[in-house]
Amino acid sequence: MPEKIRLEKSAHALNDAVAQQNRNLFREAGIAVVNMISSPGSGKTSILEALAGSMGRSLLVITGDIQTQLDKERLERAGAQAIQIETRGSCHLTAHMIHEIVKQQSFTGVRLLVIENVGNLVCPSSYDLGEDEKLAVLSVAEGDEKPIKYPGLFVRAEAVVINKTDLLPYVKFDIERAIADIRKLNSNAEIFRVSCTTGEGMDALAAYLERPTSRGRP
Amino acid sequence: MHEYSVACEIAALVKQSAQGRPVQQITLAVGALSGIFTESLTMYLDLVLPDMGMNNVKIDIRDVPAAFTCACGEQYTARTMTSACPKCGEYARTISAGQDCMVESIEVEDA
Repeated sequence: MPEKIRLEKSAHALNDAVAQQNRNLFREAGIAVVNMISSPGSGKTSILEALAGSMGRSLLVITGDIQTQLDKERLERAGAQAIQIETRGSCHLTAHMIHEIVKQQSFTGVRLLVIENVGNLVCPSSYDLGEDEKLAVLSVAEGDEKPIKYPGLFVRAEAVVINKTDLLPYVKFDIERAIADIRKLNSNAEIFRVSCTTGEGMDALAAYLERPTSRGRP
Repeated sequence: MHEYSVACEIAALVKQSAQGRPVQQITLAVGALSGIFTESLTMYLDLVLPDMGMNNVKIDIRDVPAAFTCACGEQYTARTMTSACPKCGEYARTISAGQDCMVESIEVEDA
């Protein structure tokens, strides 16, 4: 006779258990952790370079790409601490990948850890890494229908950045439509309009990311 | 495409839960908002399970509809995440079901 075992566990249960270990470790270290997710080329690294200008080495970035160390090199040149994960094909970061790094990482002097996920609007939003919050980035060059086409990320994000606003005069991007669609998906999300080129909105975003209110924050 | 990763995670969870006993059936509950295409998930499970020593496993998938609870108190089901509340027309709602992919149960042979 076969035996039926009731599991009632998420398909991501093994990932989520490691994510919780990461979260405990981050709380012990007293650092805030943000999981930054967007499509490729939306400007995640440029935003972090600008943030590094004010935060310096108190900003630690774990950056994920299919291959190359290019983002780590850019972030270090900008003054941040950076660790590169090359996923060798995987289209998202997992809690295990982050755990391998953070279990041996010193967080002395670090106030904010940003995990810059692999550029992809689909699966990264399904994988808890142990972060306090998810930050979605969308650039005006991508088109204003992206939130409604890729709702999974925008539903789960605590904050959304609309980047490259300096390009608005040159592209067909209805920013009010994009914001209205984000609001339909997520009425609580903080929304920031940012341009890394002109610096518009960067102070507000930096103040939000460095705010001392969230769970892991000192 | 990401169904491959999900299939690998499910296979690892099932293998761990079976504790060495042969697995005959896996019952999954896949939410309408989970972003998982069930045909694709089944295809990848058929590839991944034998690789992990689990052969001839029957996959049973139950579809879970999306359910919302509006700030006005109305509870409703809808096909997409961008569906307004049918009662008040607002979008101030929480998703109460349909986002998850759950492994509900497995059937294993007696030891």
